[in-house]
Amino acid sequence: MNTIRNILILTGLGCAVLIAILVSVITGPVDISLADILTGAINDKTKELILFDIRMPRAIAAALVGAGLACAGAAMQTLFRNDLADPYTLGTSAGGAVGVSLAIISGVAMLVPVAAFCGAIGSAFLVYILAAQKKRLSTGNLLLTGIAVSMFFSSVVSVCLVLSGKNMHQIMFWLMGGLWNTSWADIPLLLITLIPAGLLVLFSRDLNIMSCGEAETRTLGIDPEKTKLLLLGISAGITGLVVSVSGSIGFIGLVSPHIMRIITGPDHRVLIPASLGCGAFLLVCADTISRTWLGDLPVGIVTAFFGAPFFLMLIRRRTDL
Amino acid sequence: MKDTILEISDLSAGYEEKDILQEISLFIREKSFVGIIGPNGSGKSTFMQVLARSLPVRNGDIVLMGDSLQSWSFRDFGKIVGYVPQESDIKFRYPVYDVVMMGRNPHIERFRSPSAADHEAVQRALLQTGTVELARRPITDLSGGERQRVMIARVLAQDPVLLLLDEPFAHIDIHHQYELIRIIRETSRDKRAVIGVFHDINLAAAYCDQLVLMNDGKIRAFGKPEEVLTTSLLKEVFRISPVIDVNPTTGTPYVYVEEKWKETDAQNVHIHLISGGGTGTYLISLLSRSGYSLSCGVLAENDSDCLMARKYDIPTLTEPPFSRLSQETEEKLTELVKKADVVIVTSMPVGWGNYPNIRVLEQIDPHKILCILPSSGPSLPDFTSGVATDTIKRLLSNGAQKKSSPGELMEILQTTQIVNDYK
Repeated sequence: MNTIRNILILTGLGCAVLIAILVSVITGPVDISLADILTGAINDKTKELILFDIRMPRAIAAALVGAGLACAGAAMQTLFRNDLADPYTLGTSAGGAVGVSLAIISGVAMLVPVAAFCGAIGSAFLVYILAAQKKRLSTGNLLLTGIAVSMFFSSVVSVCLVLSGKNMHQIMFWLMGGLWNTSWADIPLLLITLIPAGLLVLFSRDLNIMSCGEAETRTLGIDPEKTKLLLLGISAGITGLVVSVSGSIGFIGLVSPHIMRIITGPDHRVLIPASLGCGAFLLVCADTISRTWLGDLPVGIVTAFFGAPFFLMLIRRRTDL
Repeated sequence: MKDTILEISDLSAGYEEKDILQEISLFIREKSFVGIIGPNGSGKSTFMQVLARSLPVRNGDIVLMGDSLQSWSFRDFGKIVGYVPQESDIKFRYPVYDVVMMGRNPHIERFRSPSAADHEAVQRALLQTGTVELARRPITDLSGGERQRVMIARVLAQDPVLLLLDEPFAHIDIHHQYELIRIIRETSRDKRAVIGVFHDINLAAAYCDQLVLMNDGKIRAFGKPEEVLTTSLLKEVFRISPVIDVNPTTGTPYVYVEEKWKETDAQNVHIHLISGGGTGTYLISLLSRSGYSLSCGVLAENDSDCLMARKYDIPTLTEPPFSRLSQETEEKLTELVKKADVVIVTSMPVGWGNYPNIRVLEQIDPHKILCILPSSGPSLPDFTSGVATDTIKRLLSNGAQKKSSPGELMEILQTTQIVNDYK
C-alpha cells in the first residue's frame, strides 16, 4: 500500500536531514572530527565554541528555514494552482526587503528582523486587500497583484540602496539571504514556524480538493474564500518569520515541492511533510557548501546557482505536472 | 405530494456587469429528474454554477430544503448537493481512488480519516461507473471519457440529495452514456433529485421526468418532455425545423432535424408514390423535403406510410385496414397515376387487397414508372401467387426503370432528367 511507501519516504527524509545536520556540524574551514565529538575528547575551547555555538545553531536554523520555505511553497503552489508560485508570491520577499532597507537607512539595525517580518506580512496583507475587490478572491488576480506589488517594492528598495551610502552592503547581503548571523537565539523563533506548518498538514485534504479545481470545492464541503485566506495567512506567516531570520533565500520554496511531487505524488498529506524535509535537507547542504568552500557566500546565491539548472532539468524531464 | 427540495424565485445572476440569468423561477421536487436544454449561451451552465454556489445570486431567492442557499455552511451544503462541472482539469497525478474519495470529504470530520463506510461508498461508486479497474491509475493518464466517469463516480460517492450535472456525457461513449444515465436515474428514484444540463435532447427526453427549456437566460418552457418538445418551441429556440416523432424504444418524444434543401423546379413535378408497410416512409420525408408535389396511396389507414404522409400533410388515398380496394378508390388512383409526372413503386408486400395499386400501372406510360426493388431481382414480398411479380416484370420489360437504393433514386430526381423526359 501507499501508506507504507509514504512512511518510508518520510522516515528516509528525516534521517537525511539529521545526517546532513551532523555532516554540516563537522564540516568547515576548521577541522573537527566526528570521533572527537562522540568521545567528548575535545578540550579545545575554540573548537567547542565553533561546534556548539556557531555550526550547530546555524545548521539547525538552516534546516528550519528550509523546512518553512518548502512547506509554504508547496501550499502556495496549490493555492495558486500555479507551478511558479513560491513563498514570495505574495510579495513577502520584496516587502521584507523594504522593511529591512528602511530600518538600516534610519540607523536602527537592531530592528532589522522585526522590520523584515512586518514588511513581509504587511506586503502579503496589502496584496490581499488590493486583489480582493469584489468579495471574491481570484488567484489569478492575486498572483498578478503580488507581482505588481513586488516590483513596486523592489523599486523602493533600489531607491533605498542609492540613498544608503556606506550601509549599502548591509542591505545587499540581506537581499541575497544568508545564515551567517544565526545563533541559538533565533532557534525558538524558527521552531514556532513548525506550528503553522503542522496546520498546513491538517488542511491537506482541503488542499487536495482545491488543487483539483475551484468549481466543485463548495459542493465538496469547503469554503474556498475562507480556506484560501486562512492558508495564505499561514503561509505568509511562516515566510515572514523565516525571512526575518535569514533574509530572502530563493529557490528552496520553489524547487522542494516540485521534487517531492515527483516522488510522493500530489497528495498533500505526504507532500507537505515531505517538502518540509526536502527543503531542510537542501538548505543545510547548500549552507554547508557555501560556508566551507565558497568563503561564506550568501546561501541565496548558492541555492540559485545550483537550484536553477537543477530546476531546468526537472522541467525538461517532466511529462506531466 | 413530494417535498420541494429547491425553490428558486425570480433569480438573476451573471458575470461582471451583465445579468446572464433573468427572472428564473423553478421548483424542484425530491426524487425528480429534471433536464435542462437550450442552445449555446442560453445560460444553462451559469444556472448550474449559481446552484453550486460558485457564482453568487444577484437578485431573487434560492431556497434549499427550507433554508436560503447562502445560509448553508459549506460543509452541510456538501452533504446535500453534489456537482459535476462541465470541465474538470485535474492536473496533478492523484490516483482515481483518491479523487473519488474526495467526494466523501463533506462527510469526514476534519481531524479524522475516512471510515469503513466512506471506503464502501467509494467502492460502490467505482463499481457503478465501471471504473474499478482504473482505481489505482493516476487521473492524469485517463482519457476524457474515463475522467468524466470518475467525476460521476466521485459525485455518486458523495451521495447528495440534489445532484447537479453540467453536460456530464460530453465525452462519454454511447455504452457508458446509457449505463450512467440509467444509474443516475435509478438513484434519483431512490432518494435524490437530479438536475442535468443535456446536449442530447433525445437522451434528456427519454430519461428526464421534466424538461426546462432555456433561451437567452430565461426559462422558456418547463414541463413534461412532450409538453416542452413541441415543433413551435423548438423552431423558435433552436432555429431548426424539427420533426417530432416517438422514440420507438421508450415511447418518449424524439426530435429529428430536417435538412432544408429544395430542388429548383421540383414543385412543378408531381410524383405519385405507391408503397405500404413502411417501405415508403423515408421516401415521403425525402421527396416532400425536396419540394416535390407528392401524392400517396392507396394506403391502409393504419399503415406507417400513411401516418408519415399525414405528418407531412400529403394528399393520400386511403382504405380501411385489411379491406380490398373499392372500385371508387381505384378510379381515383388511376386518375392520379395518369396525371403524375413520375410514379414510384416500392417493394411493398402485395396481397390481393392492395394488388390493384400495381394493376392500374399497366394503363400508363411505363417509362414514367420507377420501381425501387432489391438488386437481387424484380421481386417483392408477393402474396398473390406470383401475379403481382408478373405484373412488375411486365412493366420493367416495357420500359419501367428499376432502382435499388434511395441514393440512386435521388440522383435521378436531382438531375431531373427523368422529369424533363416525361413531361
